[in-house]
Amino acid sequence: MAEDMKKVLIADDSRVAAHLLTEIVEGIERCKVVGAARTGEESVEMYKELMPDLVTMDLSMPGMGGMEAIRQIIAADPAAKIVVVSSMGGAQDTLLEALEAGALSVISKPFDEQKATAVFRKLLGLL
Amino acid sequence: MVPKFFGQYLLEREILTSRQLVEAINYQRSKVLKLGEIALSKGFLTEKDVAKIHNEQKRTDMMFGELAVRMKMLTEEQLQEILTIQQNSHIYLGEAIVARGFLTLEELEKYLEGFKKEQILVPPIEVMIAEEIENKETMTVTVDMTCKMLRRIGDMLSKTGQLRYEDKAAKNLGVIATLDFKGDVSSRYMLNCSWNVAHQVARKTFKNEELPFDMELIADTIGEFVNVTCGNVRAKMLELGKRLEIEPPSTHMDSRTPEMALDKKEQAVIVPVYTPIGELEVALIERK
Repeated sequence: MAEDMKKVLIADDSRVAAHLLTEIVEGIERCKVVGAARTGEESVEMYKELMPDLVTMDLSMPGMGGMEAIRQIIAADPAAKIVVVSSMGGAQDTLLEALEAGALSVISKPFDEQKATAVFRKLLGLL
Repeated sequence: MVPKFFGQYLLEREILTSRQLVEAINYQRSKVLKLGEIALSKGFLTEKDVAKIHNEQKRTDMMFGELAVRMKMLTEEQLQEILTIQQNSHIYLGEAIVARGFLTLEELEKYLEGFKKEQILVPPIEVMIAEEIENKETMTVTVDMTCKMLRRIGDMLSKTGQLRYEDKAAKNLGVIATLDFKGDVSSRYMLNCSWNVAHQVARKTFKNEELPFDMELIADTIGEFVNVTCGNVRAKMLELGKRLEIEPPSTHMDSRTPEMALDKKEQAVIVPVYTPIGELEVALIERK
């Protein structure tokens, strides 16, 4: 992979959501999805292994779930860039908890592709 | 467009940073008076009573007001009175943002106007459940959100039919997706979808009118549709003062699960939904 390629890890138990997010990410120049985790545990392990530039994190996943995964990733790497992409993102309590856990932004499902692209680009420094 | 709250609107537009938003929400929360403090100021409880209730709370994990009534320290009327006072002590997020100095009042008014304009694009609740049923509010929000998502994701208009009860099994119309609600509402959401409707949702989700009829992929899409719908139901219920948690969905195709059997102690409240290309059912399965 080219050195200046940005690596993105997608954590979502839905294959459909993961597919849609992959299309958005890979539609951005110099961006590549390097892994797809389907549980919170997997996302933490894959983060440590792949050290991606950005993680898209669903919250409602089997196992520990996305919120705990955010905390564990941030504990391992306080500079980790995580954006929550979740159907629960529209609720104030979820948004607050995710931001306090260390997520940088929250996108609610169903998401608007243009807005999602803009958020990903900004967090990856590709503006 | 899905309803969202003002804070998310400001965050999306980078008007506030995530840190500023967290600080403003926490400031907003700190301004809400505690029920114990209000009950003390009204003379309904002594400090000793409040301490007793707090101790009991640690053991039972119940809400302060509910527990105070159960312990016969407050009457229902007194609880209602202090809840009203608490409600009135609430400040809006915008006020908290201005108080913390993140926006001026003029800026706040300008952004609020933009936010309101965007919210007007959200269709008003169109589903009315006429029948008197338990959990009517949850059922109304659930059916309404399903219809909104059918329009938003599946590009389908829909209308609801006559509500009915089922206590043995639900015949699978094609693909069934279920998702458990926990918390203040304890029930199971069920979407029972004909293949025609399910295929249309998948075509629109993938923005591919030629999407092949792949049953596994379509069932997965319905699972995600239910996940998105219920996440938005959760946000709406929270606005109405009810907290519910959602579990990941599971899907069942008619070839493997011709009908969804109910436990002897369960009952399904079913609302049929009709679209121009096929039917579906939205149900809440509850303990009898």
